[in-house]
Parts: sequence; structure tokens; C-alpha cells
Amino acid sequence: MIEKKNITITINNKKLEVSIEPRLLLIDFIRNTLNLTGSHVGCDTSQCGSCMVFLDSKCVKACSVLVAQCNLKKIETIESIGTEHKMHDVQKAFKNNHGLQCGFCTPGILLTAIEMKKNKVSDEKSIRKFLDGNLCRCTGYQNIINSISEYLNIKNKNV
Amino acid sequence: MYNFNYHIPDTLDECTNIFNSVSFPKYLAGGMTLIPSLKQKLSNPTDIIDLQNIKSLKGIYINNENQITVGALNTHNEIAKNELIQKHIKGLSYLASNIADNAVRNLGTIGGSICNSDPAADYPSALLSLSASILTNKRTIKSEDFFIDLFETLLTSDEIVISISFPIVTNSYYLKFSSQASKYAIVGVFGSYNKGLIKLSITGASNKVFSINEIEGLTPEEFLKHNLAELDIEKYHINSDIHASAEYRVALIKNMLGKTVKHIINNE
Repeated sequence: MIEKKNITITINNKKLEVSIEPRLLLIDFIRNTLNLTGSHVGCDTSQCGSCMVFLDSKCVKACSVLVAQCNLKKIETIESIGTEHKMHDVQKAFKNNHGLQCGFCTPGILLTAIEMKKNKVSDEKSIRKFLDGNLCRCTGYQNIINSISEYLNIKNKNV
Repeated sequence: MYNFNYHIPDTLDECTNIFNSVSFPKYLAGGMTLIPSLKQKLSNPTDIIDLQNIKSLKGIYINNENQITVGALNTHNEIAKNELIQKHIKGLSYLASNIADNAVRNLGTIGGSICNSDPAADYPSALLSLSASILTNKRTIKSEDFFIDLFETLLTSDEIVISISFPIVTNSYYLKFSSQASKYAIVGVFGSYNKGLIKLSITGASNKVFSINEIEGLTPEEFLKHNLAELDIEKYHINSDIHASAEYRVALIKNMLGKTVKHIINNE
């Protein structure tokens, strides 16, 4: 008999008390239970980064974290970043530079870009290295790099 | 994923008590290998014992033997950004900053990585090259005894790694030729330089990390005179897989040993 776990978790500044199966993945909880469908599932191998969320203000792949591990922790999803009428700077930069095509991977990439700013990424080569955990299957990445460069105020585009 | 019971104890004794009272338990550290394995049903434990609340498994400091002790639950990013490690064992901080990707480095831990003993993992080469020692809840293990084979270590089933202690060295460097998709090492060479001697260890190429007897404990000048092309590396049972043939790995090793030593000499 599997025991359910009682968890207190803060998601987008809303504190929730929930009873969950230990095997429940954070991404399934966010998407299926809370209906926050901005975070996506793009692979089955923890490589694509479409499910990126902030866990205690750090990027993690929500497909590789159990909700049970997040007791008393703070989660922020892409829904907390900005709105259609009040966009976050990183969202404006992606709009300006046509930084997406289908948009499936974009939520994860936006959160990674925000973490780049926290890590003081200051050149294009470092952006490319930092994007390792995010796969995009449409753009060839160039416009993503341009968007993030604008967001990070990087003028020199040379690699 | 099959279901399991989840435990989150506060002490090491509680961990082993739970471990020994259930049928097929697994310890959970950062979960960056275990949780993907659970999803694929490659691992089906009845009970997961999460170690995250055990405070004695965290912290990076210089111990009274002038070594740097790293807690088993310190993440790759914590190791990469730690000022003590950057200053005294920069090869280790560089190694940690090149594991997988940023999101994985935010959760994955050094203890979890070495206990998993993946043949393509990065840390084993640093542990062996630096002659690190591994403190568990039962004993202290030398790095040369710790890794036994593919996904196999000297640890008994309920044993928990508490910390890893690294001697401070004059210089160190890590060179990795990695799979582009996973960033796992196809060949990784860790070189450390201390008291005038070089020690090189190789990961990713064989079932476990190894050093080459013929070039153990040489000075950089002696090393550079050595004809690397003549080394018999095949005797270390070099693997062939979809990423690289054994022949290619041998060529990579010979090339990368020389490059690693040059990086160390030039203090890059």
C-alpha cells in the first residue's frame, strides 16, 4: 500500500497544501492538476528543457523532479513572468527579434535567459553554452541568441 | 513510473533504519539520474529515501588536514562557483561547470554522481587524479578503491557517502571530449600537478576510471619526452559504443593526455 504524502508548496506566490502520490512529477502536477500549461513536455529523456521552472529561484527541469521533493519550496512557472499587456523584458526582446517560431520551447528558454542575467552572462559564446539544456527544433537558434543578447544588453555579436 | 513510498528522514541513522526495513529501497540525492531512470522503468524501487534534509551532507570547507572537503549533496553548480575550489583546485571547478547543462547542475550532486558510478561521468577522473578520499557513514575509502566497475562501487547497499576530501594541488586541469547531446564524456582526462609530479586519470573510455601505469608520477619534462603513441592503452578494456569505437577512443586518449599536460605547464 503506497502512502500519499502531504505537501505544502508555493506556486507562483500561491501557497497550496496538497496530498499527492510520491511518484507524481512536478511537471504533471503543474500542467494536469493546476492547469498551468505554459510549461511543456517536449521529450522523455530530460534533455529538451521545455518544462523548465524556477525551484527556489533556480532553473530546474520539472520533468525530473518529484512534487514530494518540493515540500516547503517555492516554484515559479512561466505564467508568473509577465502578461500579454505587461510583458517581461525578456519577452519583449523575443518579440522584437522574432525569437520563436512554433513557441513550444520558448517558455523554457525565457526562464533560462532570466537565469543567464542572474549569472552575469556577458557574451554570445556564453549564451550559447548556457543554452545547452534547451532544445529548439525550428529556429536554428540564431534569433533566440539575438533576442537574449538584446535582453542582456550585449552589443558585440561576434562569437 | 511505478509507484513507491517516499521517505524524507532528518538523520543518517534514520536513513539506514528505513533502508534495512523495506524490500527494495533507493537513496535519492539530486535525482538527475535516478528520476529519469524511474520514468523509463529502468529502476523500480519500493521505497525512495530522500537525503535532502540531512545537514551533515552539505558544505564546502578546508579541513584540518588542509584538504578541501565537499559535502556529498553539494550540487555541480555549487562546486563550480565555490571560491575555495576555484582558488585551490581549479580543474575541479572547471569540470563541475561542464557537467550536463545548467538546470541539471542546479540539482545534480557530487555524491549522487560518484555513487552511481556511470562510466562516462566526469567526477571519477578528478577523484582518482587528485587521490581524494571518500567519507561514508561507515568508513573512509580511497578513490583508487572506490570505483569497481560499470555502475558498481565499493559501497555496501545501505552505505551513504557523507563527503569527499580533495588534497590541494599546485595546478589541475580537465579536458573533455563529450557527446554533444548528453555532455557525457566520450573521453575525459583529469590532470593534477603537485610536488613537481603529474598524475593523469581517464574517464568515459572504459568501464571505470583508470590511470596509465607507464606515465604515473612523472615530471612534466619526463612526460613530454615519453612517446605517447607507443602506450598500450587497449589493455584497459576500452569500450566501443554508438558514440565512438575503441580505436577512436584510444586515439583521443593519446592526444588528450598531451594536451592536458600542456595546459597544466602553461598554467591555463
